[in-house]
Amino acid sequence: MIALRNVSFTYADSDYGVKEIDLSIQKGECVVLTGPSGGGKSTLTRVLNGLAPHYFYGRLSGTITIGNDDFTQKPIWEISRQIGSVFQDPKSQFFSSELAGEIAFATENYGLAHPEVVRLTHQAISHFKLNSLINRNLDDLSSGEKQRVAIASVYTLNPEIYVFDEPTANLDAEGVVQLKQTVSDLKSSGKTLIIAEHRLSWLDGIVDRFVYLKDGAITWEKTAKEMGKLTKKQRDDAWLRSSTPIHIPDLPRPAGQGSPLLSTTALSIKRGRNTILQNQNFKVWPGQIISVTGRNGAGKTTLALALAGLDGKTSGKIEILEKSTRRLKRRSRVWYSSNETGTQFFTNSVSSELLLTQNLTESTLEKARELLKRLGLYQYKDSHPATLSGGQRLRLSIACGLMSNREILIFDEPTSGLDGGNMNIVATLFRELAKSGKSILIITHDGELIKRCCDFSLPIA
Amino acid sequence: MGNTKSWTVNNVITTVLLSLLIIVVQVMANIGGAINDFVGMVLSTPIGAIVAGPIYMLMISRVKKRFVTAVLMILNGIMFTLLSNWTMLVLFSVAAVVCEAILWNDGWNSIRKITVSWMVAAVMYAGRNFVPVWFFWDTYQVFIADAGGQEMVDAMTRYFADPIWVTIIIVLSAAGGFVGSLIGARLLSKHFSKAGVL
Amino acid sequence: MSIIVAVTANVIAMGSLVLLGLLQLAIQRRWQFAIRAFIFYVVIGALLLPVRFQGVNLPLISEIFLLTSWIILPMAIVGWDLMTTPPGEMASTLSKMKAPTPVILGVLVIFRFFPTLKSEINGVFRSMKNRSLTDWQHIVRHPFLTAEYILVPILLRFLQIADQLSASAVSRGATNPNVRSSYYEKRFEARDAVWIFVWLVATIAFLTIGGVKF
Repeated sequence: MIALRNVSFTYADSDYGVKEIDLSIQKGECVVLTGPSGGGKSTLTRVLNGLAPHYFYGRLSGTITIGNDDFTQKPIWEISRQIGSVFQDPKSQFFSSELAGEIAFATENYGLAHPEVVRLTHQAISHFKLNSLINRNLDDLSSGEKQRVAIASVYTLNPEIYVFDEPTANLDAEGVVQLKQTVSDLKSSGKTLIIAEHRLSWLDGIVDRFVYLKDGAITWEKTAKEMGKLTKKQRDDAWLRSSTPIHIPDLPRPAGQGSPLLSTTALSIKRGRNTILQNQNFKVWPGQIISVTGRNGAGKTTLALALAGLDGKTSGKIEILEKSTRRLKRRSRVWYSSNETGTQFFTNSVSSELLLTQNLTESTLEKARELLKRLGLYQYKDSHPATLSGGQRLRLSIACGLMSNREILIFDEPTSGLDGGNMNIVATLFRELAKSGKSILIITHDGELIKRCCDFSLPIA
Repeated sequence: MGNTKSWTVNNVITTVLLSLLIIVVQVMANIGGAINDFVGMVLSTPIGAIVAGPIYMLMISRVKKRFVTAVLMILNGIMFTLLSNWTMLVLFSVAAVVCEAILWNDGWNSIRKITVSWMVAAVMYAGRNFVPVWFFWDTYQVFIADAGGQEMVDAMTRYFADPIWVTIIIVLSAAGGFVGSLIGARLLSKHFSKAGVL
Repeated sequence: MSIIVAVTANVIAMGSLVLLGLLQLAIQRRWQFAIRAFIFYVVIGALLLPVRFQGVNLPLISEIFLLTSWIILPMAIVGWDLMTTPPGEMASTLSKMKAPTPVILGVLVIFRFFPTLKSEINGVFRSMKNRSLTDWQHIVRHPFLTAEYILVPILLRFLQIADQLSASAVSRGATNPNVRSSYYEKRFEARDAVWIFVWLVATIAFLTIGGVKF
């Protein structure tokens, strides 16, 4: 149905892009584009949905045909009627704060008659079971719900083909489960799906074929079956995440001997007037890595922000090294890394970001250099953080935490946008840091990560 | 790079978002000026111009199209018309025309031209206080004396009618615009051009 | 300053404008809003009466503030009515006027601005606290850097959001040259024409009674 013949695209004023892509995709097929960060997955989705070169300017060559139509010559609004696009960050895709208004957006742009707009909108709302959310403000929805709204808003045009660019990068675990359901429904209704992704396990049972991109070119293709046969070693060498679900191992609650590094007694947390968490009692010892789990909205992030002294009103006790520690003091002893990297960086280069508020001794410089090298950021040390890709920014945020010298570090969904190789590197770094006597709390449902580095689990309810 | 004259969707959205940010910063400076007459009537415009200067500099050099500054001025004009009266729309339309004229031919590539247009914008912004006093003083005075008392009339007469204070306010506003642009130019080279967003 | 002219000259004229505004709200069945505006109007009027006619000086409340509130009330009612019109209906009116799609998107984005600003400012301050950039020692030592640390991330984030929003719009047909349609139906009815006429007459009458001076 879709055929790319010798397609190359280079972004204007850069030599980055994809080259000599030959790819055929059958009707109803689900193809997953994968490979290391910066390999060209996102760019290929843009070539497919026409954003390259119509929105991201650059030079396109080769031919793209869909059915018998040559798509290389079409304006983007004609392409978008047949290819629906879903992006990484659902919250910056919305033009409306209202559900119906947002879902109607595309049909309105195409100037469909009013009754038709209403019919298609309502049909999409009921198809995606969004009725219960109809009166909620879109900003207040969970990340998974937002992504469902984003998909519903392209569904109205009834495209045959859907292109997803890392749709889980900003989703929490429950959001991924919801997305899986939605995508699997689209697949069974015969739609053609093209998904660029690092996280592969949620696609188990949906995907037909994996296409591996590296340095802007397709290196190999494998069916889901062939992919499942890869050994762990082969996957690690290709920087791939597991293509089948890894069950979250059963880990005990944190336990230890000697004095705990962090402990809470009868801790309750309020945000505004709402009590989010009540009566939390736990202890964490030095050297432990703990996965913090719990359903969506249970208050994992709230707990993390409160422990780090960043947000929330607490009652009860929070002790660090058996001394009650107040909010402002905690800020200098507990680190919190969010996976929303949009507002985390302040300086104009990766290296100065890492050295911000550090004493510039030879040993910190050496430590920073080593971190950058291991996280694959050294070649960008002089680049502005804003020029980094999403995955690179996430690694920079983690690196800042590792540099911070704080005793307790909390990472919020640190692997959502990481490829397999970087996930392994991050897991190893966490291990080393714990060995040096720090405690690490990781909010995650990523079975692969938990298996690789967590000792204990702290369920929040 | 597409058509260089016509606006893209991206241009529209960037202009609207950054214009609103400029307006919010300036309104915050005005509200902050409520602590006393001198700060409110003399310093709030220059302070607003300094803080909003970098945003203006970024907006003009990012979008690189005609009528960007006009959108900002029209939004300002509409807001002040709602808050006081229609003469504000006239005032800000004049500001729009002058600033557009300065930037008309590729002005967005010239730090100097952007600086001059922002200085003009700051002075025109200060004008929102002068216009009622200069053109409608007879009625305005009666009205203010009625409600605000003689002190208010004195303060307004001192700052907005006395040629010396008017000159001082205009000079300070222009200077605020200049300093804001200077900071903007610095941030442009330190951050924004390096971040590849220009 | 036509409104001001009138207020000193004629309180009744002023009041009728407010009543007209309230009537407009009532017809739209926005009762709660109408009632609040009415109470506000009565309270301010009651406070202003002694000031105006007995020369009483009010303690604590700035009289100029009261008076300004009184004057802009008709404007505020109509303005607020407009501002709180759901963006969808606003977009609908614009598409009825055959406004080009990018213009309508520009108007829609205005409504996304404040929620976005709020969440991004929160994000920046949270990161600053996390990285000890809000310690007073740091702020005192580097006041300009502190300002830069607030402004630059917000600006870069706004540009990023503008890019992502535009990509999302363009991939949903925003560059389609057709006239945009609308989910919300807002027909230009006879009633609307009547209202425009009523406001026009009221304004002219108002200016005449008030005796505009230029």
